[in-house]
Amino acid sequence: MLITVIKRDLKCVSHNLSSSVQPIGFFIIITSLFPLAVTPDPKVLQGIAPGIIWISALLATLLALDTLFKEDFVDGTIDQMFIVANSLYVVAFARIISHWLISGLPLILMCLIIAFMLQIPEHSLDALIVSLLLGTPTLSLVGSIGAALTVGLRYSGVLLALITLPLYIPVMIFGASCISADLIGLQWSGQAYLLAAMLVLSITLAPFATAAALRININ
Amino acid sequence: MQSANGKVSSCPAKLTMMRNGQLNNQVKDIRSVDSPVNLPLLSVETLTCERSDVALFSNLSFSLQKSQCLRILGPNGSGKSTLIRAIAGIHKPVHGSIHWNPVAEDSHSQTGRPKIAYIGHATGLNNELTALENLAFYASIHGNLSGLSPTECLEKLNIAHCSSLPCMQLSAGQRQRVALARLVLNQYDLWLLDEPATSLDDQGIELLLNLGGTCLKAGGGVVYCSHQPLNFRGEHDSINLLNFKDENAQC
Repeated sequence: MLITVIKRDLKCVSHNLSSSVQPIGFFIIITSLFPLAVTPDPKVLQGIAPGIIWISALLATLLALDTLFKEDFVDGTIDQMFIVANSLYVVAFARIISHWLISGLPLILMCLIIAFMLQIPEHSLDALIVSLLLGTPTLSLVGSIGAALTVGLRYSGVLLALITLPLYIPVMIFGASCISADLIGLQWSGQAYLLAAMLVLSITLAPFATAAALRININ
Repeated sequence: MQSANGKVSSCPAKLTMMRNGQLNNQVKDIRSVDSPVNLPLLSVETLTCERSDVALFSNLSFSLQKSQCLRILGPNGSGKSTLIRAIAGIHKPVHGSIHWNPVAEDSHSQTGRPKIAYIGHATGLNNELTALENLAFYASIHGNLSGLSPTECLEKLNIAHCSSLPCMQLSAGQRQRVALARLVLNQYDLWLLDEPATSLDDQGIELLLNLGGTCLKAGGGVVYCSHQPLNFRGEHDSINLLNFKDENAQC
């Protein structure tokens, strides 16, 4: 069922590419606003680049979260999947994986261009990619809880942001400091391990919480 | 789920083999294997349901025999859809129990639940996917024991000409037909139909009645609510939820 749901989600994306690339476009635009608004000075930009990248990543993830369960909830697909599986754990997990594949993975690829624009030197790219690889799945996992809680509301965007963004703070702190540490020549493995720990914790617990929230909402 | 389905479908083969001592025609017609005990398909005891803290009905008890059709009656807001969702296991009742006896020994899936087909107000069709893709998705999560391909299921509802259109481009009646095509994907123990005739034309209703008749003949059950009576070919019964309304409940 996990693979069937993911396959279906990817098929939906292929039918409706424009709405799926929106979060990525949003990410590119937000990051490119900073050099224009603050300063194009390479030194200053390099200093604030980790923060810019991570804040933009949070916002882009959030943008795609709103529709994570909403369509399936409104059109009754969640009911149908619940009748078959008698649990929403697999459904939740599958949707989280496809959310990351659709919004997280392209974001990491896009970062290679953004890093160039924000004057991040080549030797720091590995820290950037590792921090995003470990951090963005956590964002999808934690965010899915908020998305599931607000799935029954018609306009849930702002409430979803209010629920989710505070929970994103630890990931953002360690993600950004991972890159900053490398930029000033320090070891960044400590931050990366912490990000990995948060990922493991959220993989273990978040799908259960998401499934429970969905169950309450379809009742 | 796929492994679960694999296990379920391997069951009838064994059963038939033990009974007849040979392997032919194993999976083809599961329903022909009669259940040894003539238990009701579904029995509901002292069921009480609430929605948003308002009691809808209380102490509702009934049972549904094999090959029986049950119509749920009641005015708007009396809890017809909630009762159907409770039977499907989606809605949690406040009180009471729902018991199942499978049509054939193998019908219980791994989770101990019977095979239910539920057609609700929401069609369960993804707007972006085509009719065929939607049905193929359900075929892969429900399993496809009836042996009909998704295209053949669409043909049964006379809607195959729309199979490559995205569901958002279909009319309400066409969408309902695609949703109803799910009913023939598998051999279900019970059909739960919530206003199945909504936006269907006369020919569509006739097709639905025929398919329902086949399900009843095979020993399945049909529970439906509809404002106009649907004459499924089989034994008929009805319950009126108004008789189970809690007098003290505030509306």
